[in-house]
Amino acid sequence: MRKIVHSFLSRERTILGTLFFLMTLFWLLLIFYFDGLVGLQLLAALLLVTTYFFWGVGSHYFDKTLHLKNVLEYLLISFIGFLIIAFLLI
Amino acid sequence: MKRLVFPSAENNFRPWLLHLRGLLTLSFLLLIVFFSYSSVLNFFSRPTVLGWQEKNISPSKIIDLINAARAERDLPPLGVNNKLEYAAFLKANDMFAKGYWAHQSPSGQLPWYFIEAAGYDYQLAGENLAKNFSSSSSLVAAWLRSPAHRANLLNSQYSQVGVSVVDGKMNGIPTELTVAFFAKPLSPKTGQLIQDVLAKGTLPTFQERNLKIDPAVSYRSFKELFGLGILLVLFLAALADYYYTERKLPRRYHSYSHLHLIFLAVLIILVIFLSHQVGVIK
Repeated sequence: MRKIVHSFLSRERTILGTLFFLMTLFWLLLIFYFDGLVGLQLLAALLLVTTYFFWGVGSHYFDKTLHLKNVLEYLLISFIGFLIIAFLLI
Repeated sequence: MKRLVFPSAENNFRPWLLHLRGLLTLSFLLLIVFFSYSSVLNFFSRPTVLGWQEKNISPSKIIDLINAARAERDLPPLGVNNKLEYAAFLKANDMFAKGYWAHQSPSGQLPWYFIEAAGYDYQLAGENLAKNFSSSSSLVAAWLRSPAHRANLLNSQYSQVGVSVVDGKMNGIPTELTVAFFAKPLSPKTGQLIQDVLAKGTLPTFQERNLKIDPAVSYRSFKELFGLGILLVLFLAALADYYYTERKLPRRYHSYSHLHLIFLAVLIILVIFLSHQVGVIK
């Protein structure tokens, strides 16, 4: 278990990974901040899911493991995430 | 069920929910629920038991908070005007009756129509709207964060305010609307409390609302539970996938499950946050 947790934490210890992680947290905080302003919250949510998509695709690209199936997988999970947030906000 | 969430030889060592077919099915399911939520609501919100839910939102609290914000900026406090309160009440009821939530009604009536209908003569007036807030403080905080709403709250020219909070059903969905009218009266007389008119019963009196009846299962809780349920199942699938990846089990291709885990955890936090902060302003 310890090995798995350590592996998890060490995976994103790259400049790109740290940057995308911080961006994700930034959009999350922005959604908290724009409480009550649905338009801005939706925009921040869109940026959040877009960050995740490019984070996933970028990681595969730099690892030279990019595959169309990966791209579609990140795209669909982003879409599902955005739908759920929009479902709650609207 | 096992194939949906846990990797095995049957699903090529990848949870079916993380396969493209699984994700497409989930997206399709979400879209169906998203576009047919009213029917789902009617099914879930058939109340068999009514519960009392304490609410922390009231017109007087909202006005106190607005005046506190004005006091911090050395602005004079706004006086409560019953005609403006009545205008806000009329506007809220019009929105419920016609099923809209906007500054302009579908028939083209602007906010000033309701102020005039309440018999208030004004030089300058403004309107703030809010929907489904759980507390007066979160509502006023949201108004203060929005430049346009903040301008109404902190306008030094306004001297009077009228706030109304009305519960009802908008397009079949239990909704709580807050309408606030800010104004500068045309003459000082207009600004005085019209106790004589109230005594004649031509204007309704407004009482503090601290309690409200909600259906046992509300539309809001259905949306939260549905969204949270889907995210938790996906999270479980990604967790199982990550565990199998770490054990280096065979598979045709794999994406980075740890990224899915981070993203889904963020979304779960977000859904929990949004379930507590449900208000919207306009």
